[in-house]
Amino acid sequence: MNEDYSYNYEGYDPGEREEEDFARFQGILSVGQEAPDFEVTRLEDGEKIRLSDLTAQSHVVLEFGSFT
Amino acid sequence: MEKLAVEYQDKGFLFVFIYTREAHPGEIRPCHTSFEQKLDQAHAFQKEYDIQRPILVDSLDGAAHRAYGSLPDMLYLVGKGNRLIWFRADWTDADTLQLILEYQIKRLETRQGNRKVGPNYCELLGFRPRMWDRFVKHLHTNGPQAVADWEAAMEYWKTHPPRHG
Repeated sequence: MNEDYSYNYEGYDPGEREEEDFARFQGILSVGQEAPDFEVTRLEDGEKIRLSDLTAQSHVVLEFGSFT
Repeated sequence: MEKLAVEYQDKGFLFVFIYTREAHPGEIRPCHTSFEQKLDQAHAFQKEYDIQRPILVDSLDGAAHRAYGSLPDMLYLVGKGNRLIWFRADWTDADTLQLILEYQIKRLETRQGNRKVGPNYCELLGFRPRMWDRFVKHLHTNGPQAVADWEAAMEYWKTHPPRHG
């Protein structure tokens, strides 16, 4: 990965960074693998929650996104 | 996706939305510089799109987003218990997801009937509807810079075709 890569970029640029992101998606995970556990903040109440907390109860559909 | 979330919640599927970095930051919806700001924009996102699914806000450095591939609108289906990835897509498309959910429900019923099943690897090339008008409207909501960056990207792609469909 490019050392200058900044996760929160100030402006969208379809160049090298996007190429890196597509390459990362294609190579990082596959069906049949264990989904990486992670901790995030629940917007409703500010509580920290882990994916494994959710998958202990049900199957989970994860959609990633922002305003666009 | 909201409709599917309601339809399948009683069938054992929990839908959540992981709020990530802003893919097309602008003056009104800028890139995140603090976690508090990211939370504020997540609240605004929830209100503007009337999101009923639980919204889970990723860390400022995008740890969860990066672990799953960093693309702006990815979709994953993860199985209960052992957290196996059942399905993943570079872009979210409700029709594709519903197809997969119906298949998995059918297979879960097969397993509950004490019939043995074995995993098999599948691939699918989806064709998602493109809703450019809605997308451009959202760019304007983010601010003039988001629109200008997108117009510059369209010029860039004339000589550097994008890898994705």
